[in-house]
Amino acid sequence: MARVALERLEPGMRLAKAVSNPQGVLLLREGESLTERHLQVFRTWRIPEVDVTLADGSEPAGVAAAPGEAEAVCEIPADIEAEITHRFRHAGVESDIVMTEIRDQAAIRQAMRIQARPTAAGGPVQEAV
Amino acid sequence: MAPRLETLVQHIGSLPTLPTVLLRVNDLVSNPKTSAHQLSRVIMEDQSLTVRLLRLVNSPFYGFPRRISTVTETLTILGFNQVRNLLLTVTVVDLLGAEESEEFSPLRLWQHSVATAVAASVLAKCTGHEDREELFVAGLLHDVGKLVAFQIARKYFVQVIQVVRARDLLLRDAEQEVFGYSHDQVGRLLAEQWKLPVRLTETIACHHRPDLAQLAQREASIIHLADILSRALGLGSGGDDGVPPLSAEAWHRVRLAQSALGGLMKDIEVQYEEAQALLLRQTKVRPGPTEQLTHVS
Repeated sequence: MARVALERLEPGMRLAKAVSNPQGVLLLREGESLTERHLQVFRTWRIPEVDVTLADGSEPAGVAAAPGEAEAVCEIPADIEAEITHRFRHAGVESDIVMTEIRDQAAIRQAMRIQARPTAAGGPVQEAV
Repeated sequence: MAPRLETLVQHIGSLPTLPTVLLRVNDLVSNPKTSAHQLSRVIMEDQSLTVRLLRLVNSPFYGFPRRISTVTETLTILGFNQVRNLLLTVTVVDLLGAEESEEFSPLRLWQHSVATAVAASVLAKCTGHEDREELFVAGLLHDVGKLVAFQIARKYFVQVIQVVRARDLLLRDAEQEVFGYSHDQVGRLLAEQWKLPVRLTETIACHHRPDLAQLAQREASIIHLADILSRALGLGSGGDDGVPPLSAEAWHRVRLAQSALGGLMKDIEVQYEEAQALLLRQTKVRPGPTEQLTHVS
């Protein structure tokens, strides 16, 4: 097992330990093989480093989750993405790296706010508009 | 036709003015010979203001390590300028509270203003700016021109909101179309009418164009960014629902590391809840002035 910084991760590497966001919500299970999309999610959540199994296979691959099982919690929910994209439509995000960072952080804050919101019945959390 | 800026100015007199005590405090603070004793006597003439000031400085939001129980003590610990800014903070929200309408919510604007004030104060702390209270007040007042327009030329301000919605514009661009000027210019006039300090006036007037400021470029830049951050977080509403572009020059002047933005935005969210509870809890809603520029050209 090796701890690898985000910027040195590559698609195809296999997770030796599950990765969670700063609130403890699972992003990707142990044993998953990293894709470019997963790396993008780690960047969004500012995950600094993750543990991966070594390429020579000296580590067991771990308990592989059923493919796609972790996908549901893996990204900023699509409705929040859409809301944030709309909110930033005049902001010139494409040509401004600072604005891109503000946008990404706003999406994270919004996602966390909704995760943290208690629900009366304990059912799925709904975004109140 | 919408009223010209000069016409709007003439009607600013129909808006509530700052309490006399605050005008006297303004004068005394700008006089270097004023003593804490003199100033505290003037403040204490207004009991309700005194109570609100002490409540504010002893609130968890300000978080002073020990209880401050007198006005003189407040002046000694915080300094004259800061106390003047705190007095403005506890006064303006009540003073310019207005009725909610279908098209425009003054309460949501105040929420946006409190969020911008909090963001400005957090930015001040992060970037080592020495005057957090002045930036807080500047954030609170940065959009005050919108309330002035809403109160004295409501018909046209409502038209602005309709243009914003129909054509998906930012509010300031729609104001330029309908009025030929925008809320930052109106804000400057109110600040001048209220005889606010020049630097604060300029910060309010230049929050969309910090490059035009002469004395307060850094402060106007901080408010420019604070406005963007509060909109990015969706706290309250400035009358439109979009984040405006960031001026590269303003970003440079604020002198903030990009990597600090995440932590800073989290702090803004937390402090906003506290500040909102403190400042907007007792907001009175008052009817707008009877005299409105609905037919003035």
